[in-house]
Amino acid sequence: MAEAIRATAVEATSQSLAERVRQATPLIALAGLLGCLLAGILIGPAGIGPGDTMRVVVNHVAGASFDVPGQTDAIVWEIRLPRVLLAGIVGATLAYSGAAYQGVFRNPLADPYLLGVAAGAGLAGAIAIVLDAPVTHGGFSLLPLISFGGAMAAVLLAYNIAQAGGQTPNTTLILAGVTLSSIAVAAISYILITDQQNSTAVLSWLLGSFNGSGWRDLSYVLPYALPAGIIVFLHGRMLNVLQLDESEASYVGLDVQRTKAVILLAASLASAAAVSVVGIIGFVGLVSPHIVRLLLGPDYRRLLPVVVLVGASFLVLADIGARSLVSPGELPVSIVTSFVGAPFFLFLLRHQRRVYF
Amino acid sequence: MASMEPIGGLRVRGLRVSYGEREVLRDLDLDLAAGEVVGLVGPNGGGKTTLLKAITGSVAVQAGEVRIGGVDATKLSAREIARRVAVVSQSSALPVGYLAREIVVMGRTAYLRFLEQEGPADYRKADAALSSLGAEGLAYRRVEEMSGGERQKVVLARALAQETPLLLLDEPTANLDIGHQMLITGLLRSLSRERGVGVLAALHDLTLASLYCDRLVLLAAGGVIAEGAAADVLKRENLRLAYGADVVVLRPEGLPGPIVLPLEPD
Repeated sequence: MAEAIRATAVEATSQSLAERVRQATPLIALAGLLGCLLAGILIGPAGIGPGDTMRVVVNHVAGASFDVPGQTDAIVWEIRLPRVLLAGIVGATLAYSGAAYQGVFRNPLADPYLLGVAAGAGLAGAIAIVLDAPVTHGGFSLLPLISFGGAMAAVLLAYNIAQAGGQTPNTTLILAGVTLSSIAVAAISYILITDQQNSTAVLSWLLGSFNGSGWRDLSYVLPYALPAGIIVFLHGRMLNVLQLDESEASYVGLDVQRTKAVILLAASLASAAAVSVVGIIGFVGLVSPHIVRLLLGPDYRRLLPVVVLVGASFLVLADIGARSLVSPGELPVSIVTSFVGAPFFLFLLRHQRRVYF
Repeated sequence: MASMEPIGGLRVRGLRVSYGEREVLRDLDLDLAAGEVVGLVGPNGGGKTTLLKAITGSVAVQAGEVRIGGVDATKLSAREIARRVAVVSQSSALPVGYLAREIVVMGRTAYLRFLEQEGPADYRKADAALSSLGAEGLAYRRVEEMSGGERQKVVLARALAQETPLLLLDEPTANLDIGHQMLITGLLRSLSRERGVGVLAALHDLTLASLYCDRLVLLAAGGVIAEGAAADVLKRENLRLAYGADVVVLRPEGLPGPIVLPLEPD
């Protein structure tokens, strides 16, 4: 009897602990992101101290006029800050897109990279670049829209190939996506190498890089990633209902086809915008939602805000790794995300039945 | 008079459904009045599940008409149908990780505007639906930790939370012990008597159907073999025709309908 009471008490405390972790998670994730951003701005070969960094930021943001060497100002304000913010925004974008794909396909393995979306977008973008299409108008870029065509083509193709008898087996969908991806990557390599004779440019497009990113890149991504993100966020409740069987979701009154189409379009536009600016970066959209689900459970309304924070942190950290691991050189960022993400993917593949989402 | 169909009514005329070459329903007619409990019985593959699906438009219909509460079902959106008809299907795979209460409250989807989230009133309805099934204890449990019978109750509760004048159920008692079978059939009856809900339930257990339904429809090979009071439908010759099996039908006095035993008559 006493033992039973004690067991119940232990359960109650552990439940409330889980609940407390759950409530604190968004704040911890936010603090973590701020820490990553700070580290991203402070770390670099130029060895600029936190004091000077702060002064530069305050000068620009608050219009102060602290005395800072011009070169320091340029490094912090023109190179590091936009690069770190871009990494954060791209990470957030890939992460919420991954969560959205997982929700729409009810497939825990889905992500822009593994579905072939990223490579499809990359191929369309590469073609536009090689043809010298006039894609930028002032601070606005049409490249994301062109890449979006490639992204949608890839995801619809993968989905149609994988469908069999009204079912879309999880691993078949990913297999189709990965295969399409390798076709697109081969095509990108061919096009860029014959056109540019420059393997560095090819590498940074195929494996993603924030090298040379500036404020302009932010202005290219945000007009797409922000509205698409809002659309996905507003569909949190519908994403939950979609987790029922499709016919069940329709029985409770959801317009399943329309809901799926809207979320799919938004996620693909967002992934395409990210790819068109920084190239193909893998696994961010796979890893972030899974980590957050482990902490918060499957409800998309609770999940998505934290997924965005975790995805941003992940890519900012990966970028720090990309530019410090082989310093003074630089690695394409996808090399870092793949070292973390690919083993994680294999783990999910192995435990698909037991990992419940 | 025919035009005065009550809101809970269902009328099916000349319904034809085929899967490829195979005709699953042929010119099927069916009526269900508000407050009526109709049992759909018949062999496996006889068309029961397809009929339930065709009513909500989740399978393509080749010909015929379905009117829900007097309105042509093809003119209704998924949302409008979900406010009129709730469906409990046979094999609902519930999404892992969600609490029972979160699943049940999804039954309120058809009442929420685009940006609206479930409010306290919706959760009250979800909780009430669970407790009407004696399942309030499941509310905060995850579906993957539940037994088949418990999940069945969650799906039923979700349908009840839809507060529809019509309920379609495919084998609602399949995974349940006799106590829970009685609980659910009792609940369906009281919904029909007290709130005028029309209930159409596909049932395998002929005795259960006989004792709890106002009327039975015996469906085999895509057509109606017999329909009416249990005593008229559950006859040996009808059952032999439908199931290809000889069974014993007993008519004890004092019971609302006959009971069917899986025994060869001597």
